[in-house]
Amino acid sequence: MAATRERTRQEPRRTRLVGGPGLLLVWLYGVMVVGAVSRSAYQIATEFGRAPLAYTLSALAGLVYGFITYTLVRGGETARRAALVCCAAELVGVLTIGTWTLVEPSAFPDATVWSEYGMGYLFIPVLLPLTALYWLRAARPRTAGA
Amino acid sequence: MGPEGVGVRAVGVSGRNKVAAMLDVLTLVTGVAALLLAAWCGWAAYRDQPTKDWHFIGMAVVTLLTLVQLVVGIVQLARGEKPEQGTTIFVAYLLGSFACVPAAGFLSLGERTRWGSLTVAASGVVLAVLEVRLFDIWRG
Repeated sequence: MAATRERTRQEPRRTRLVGGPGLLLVWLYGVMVVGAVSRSAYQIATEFGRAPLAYTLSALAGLVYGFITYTLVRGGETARRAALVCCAAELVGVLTIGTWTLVEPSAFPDATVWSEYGMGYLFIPVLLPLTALYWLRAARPRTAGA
Repeated sequence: MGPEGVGVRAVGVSGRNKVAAMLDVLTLVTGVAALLLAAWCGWAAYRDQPTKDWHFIGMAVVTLLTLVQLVVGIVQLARGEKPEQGTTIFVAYLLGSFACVPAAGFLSLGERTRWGSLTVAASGVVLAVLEVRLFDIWRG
């Protein structure tokens, strides 16, 4: 009895974020983590001097993706809010870098993950935060009376 | 990348050419199989069904193809062939395409709804893209 009570006290506290559409989101974020992190790690290690700005931005994108993936898998209200903030930041990042690469291509001798709004990645970088924001807002706890 | 390298590599000794052609065919077959898997699981998701035994057999077939591709790719490297865009990137993409579909398959085991099917379908599309990139990396 005591054990079950303890369980029920802990478990419902965490909103599950990887159920249903969240699973697809986690998988796509996982793909982006692998893509952005391995790409920037390779480029920074081998040819950093060629396009330092582009490679640093790719690494930053990888970090953001990694953090969002972690929060989604962890679940819970705090994680949900942190993920919301990061997804918003991610969207701003994609839009800024995307526009930047179009307006001033000379600043980017090589592409970043977010170049041209993520065209090299099937526009997943720009679609993903939009979908994630929608999903995270829908996952608001019901008790909050939204 | 250089234009002088392309012609030389395209016309090689017959034995080397055969294995090289095998890799091209494998890349094409795997890409098409990945798209078929994506369509199939997408259909299941559309009909509100989770992934079933037959889908997992499909995933196994696609994974087997990527495994063969991994082995053939490594054999090619061992024979001294050089991918146009570098060995590290080539191996990374080979490993990535091998892990892609099984990872989604395991996730869909824990999510017995249409969303599991859609995740596997997405992995098929991603694998097809990886195959196109693999071809570019190999051929330049």
